[in-house]
Amino acid sequence: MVGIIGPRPDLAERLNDSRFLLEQGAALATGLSAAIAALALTVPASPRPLRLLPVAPAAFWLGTLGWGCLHDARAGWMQIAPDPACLFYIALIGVLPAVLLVLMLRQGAPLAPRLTIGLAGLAAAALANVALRFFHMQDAALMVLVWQVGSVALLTGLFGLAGRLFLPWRVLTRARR
Amino acid sequence: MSGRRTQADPTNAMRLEDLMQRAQQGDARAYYMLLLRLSQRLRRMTARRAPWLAPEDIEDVVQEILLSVHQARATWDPARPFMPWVAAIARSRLADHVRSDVRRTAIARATTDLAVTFQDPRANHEAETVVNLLSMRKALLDLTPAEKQAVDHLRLRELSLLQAARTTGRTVPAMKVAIHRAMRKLKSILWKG
Repeated sequence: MVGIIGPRPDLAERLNDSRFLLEQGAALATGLSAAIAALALTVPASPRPLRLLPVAPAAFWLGTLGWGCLHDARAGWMQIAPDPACLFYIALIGVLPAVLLVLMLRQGAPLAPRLTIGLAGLAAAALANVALRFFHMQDAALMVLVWQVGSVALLTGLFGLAGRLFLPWRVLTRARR
Repeated sequence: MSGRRTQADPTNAMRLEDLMQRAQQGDARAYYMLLLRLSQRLRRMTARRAPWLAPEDIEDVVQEILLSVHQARATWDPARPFMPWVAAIARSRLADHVRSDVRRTAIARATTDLAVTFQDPRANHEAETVVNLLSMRKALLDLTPAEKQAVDHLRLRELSLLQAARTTGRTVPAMKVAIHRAMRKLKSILWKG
């Protein structure tokens, strides 16, 4: 996607900005840890604390954005405008990691389908968000928090609700094959 | 793996871990033995965890667990103990079973009540029937003779429009209009009070 749309013009400058790097790193860590937690959930008797793996990076991600909000507010940049394109892009970019993850998860045991698929949604959406920020010119922390993290949360919730749809225990006839 | 003894049927004395490992490598006989021995253990485990279940329900749960073990067989890592892996699957399947059982029972109970209410005349309160009859009679008083006739022929005697038109000597559209107006009036009177 980044290749197709082309990177944002100020990417080199952004890559030197510690706040941008910190936010991207936290989002990446959230995505990866959510993917690991989702995969671990499909292995019976895997250590239970693994499912809490993304909590710390997600908290750190929200923390960096919250801190960014305060910083922006002091600089007088605090404003919010509708930016629904974020949701569209995150959903579009997230399709690929989401499909891959769901295919992998279906090889495992659906012990907690809602939580597993919810975590997969979080992983896909967080990774999509990392990609999004490489071409989408939106750095105001509040905007990122509301529109990008909001989209990630929305997609995570929707995925979680559809958990049993994506990860059912197979029925008798198919299991017998 | 150690502890494997050679007997008439060596799989009899093998540990479950060894059997599962062989099953993962495609040994059908080992898999059969594993499922056989596992089903006995699972029956006991389910009966202990859910003592309220009837034997046939326990059997259902055990079969579901075995199918799930089959589906998830690739997720067992031979380096890890086998029984905790099975127990995690069993817990999840038993919880699923109890959940669907509760839902099914609730639906069954609700529909039984409905059937009793609608089918058994004794279950309907007698006074209610009298009140219904009186209010219906009162409502009928407000209809014109033609409308009353339409209700009588089309609703009570359940004649077709054509038959009703013939017996009353009126046209089909006239019957349609009459029954429509009658039903609207009855509804407005009965629903009000």
